[in-house]
Amino acid sequence: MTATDQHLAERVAAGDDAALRLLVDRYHAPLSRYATSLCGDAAAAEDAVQETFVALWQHAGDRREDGLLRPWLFAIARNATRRLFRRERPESAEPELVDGLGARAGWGNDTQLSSLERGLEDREEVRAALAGLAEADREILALVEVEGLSLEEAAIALVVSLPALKSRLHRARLRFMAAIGGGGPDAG
Amino acid sequence: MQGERIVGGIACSAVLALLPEVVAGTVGANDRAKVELHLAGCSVCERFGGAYGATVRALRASANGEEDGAAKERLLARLAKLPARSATRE
Repeated sequence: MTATDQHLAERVAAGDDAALRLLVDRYHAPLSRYATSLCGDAAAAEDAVQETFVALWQHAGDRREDGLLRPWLFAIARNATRRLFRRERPESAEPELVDGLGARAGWGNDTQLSSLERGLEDREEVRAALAGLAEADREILALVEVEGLSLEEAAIALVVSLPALKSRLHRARLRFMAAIGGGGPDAG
Repeated sequence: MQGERIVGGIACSAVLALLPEVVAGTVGANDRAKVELHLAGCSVCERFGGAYGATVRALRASANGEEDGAAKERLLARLAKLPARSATRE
């Protein structure tokens, strides 16, 4: 039977380095992908992930007993990545009304939607379009769509309310559609 | 949105706002019925809703499954050098 995150975190808090190794096996790849998506620099991402697991070893016992481990790890990785990049806050995506974003994402534009659907078939094009988004959009799409965190977990990791998380996610998806379909990240 | 219509008792912009919940399967029964009626009569929203769903699926399939084994080994080597934690509970 696979040990739960909570069980492993409790063992780490008690000084069990075998449990830490199991959590490395479970989360090294997702955290590395996430940190790389935030900063675009594999070396800095590696440092951030190392800091995340060092923090887990040192502070596992300080976590709330009922706190979810996965969003906690992603939040630590996010903060470490920012610190290593000396960035206080992620570059924000421009505030836009959903209606305007929908039009930019291709609503009512058959040609653009056809271009989008072709682009979606190419995994490299998908990754390139993701990399071209503002950091605030990249991080939410990386957490929810790529790494599969629940909306509740992502809200914890990003320290936002659930309604705000949902709104940000919808806008990030629409901006991604605009980017890959040719609506352009900055088109009016 | 330019050219939007009210179909099935709901406007295109309202359908657009509900798309995340439609894709997640969490939209309420009342809204779901309206959206379904709208999509049946509005080819523009039906087309866009399909593309929105395809986008979510493509993003979920885009994760790179390859792990950097060397980076993982460097992490494990660093963790092995950390001071041992003493047990804090029974």
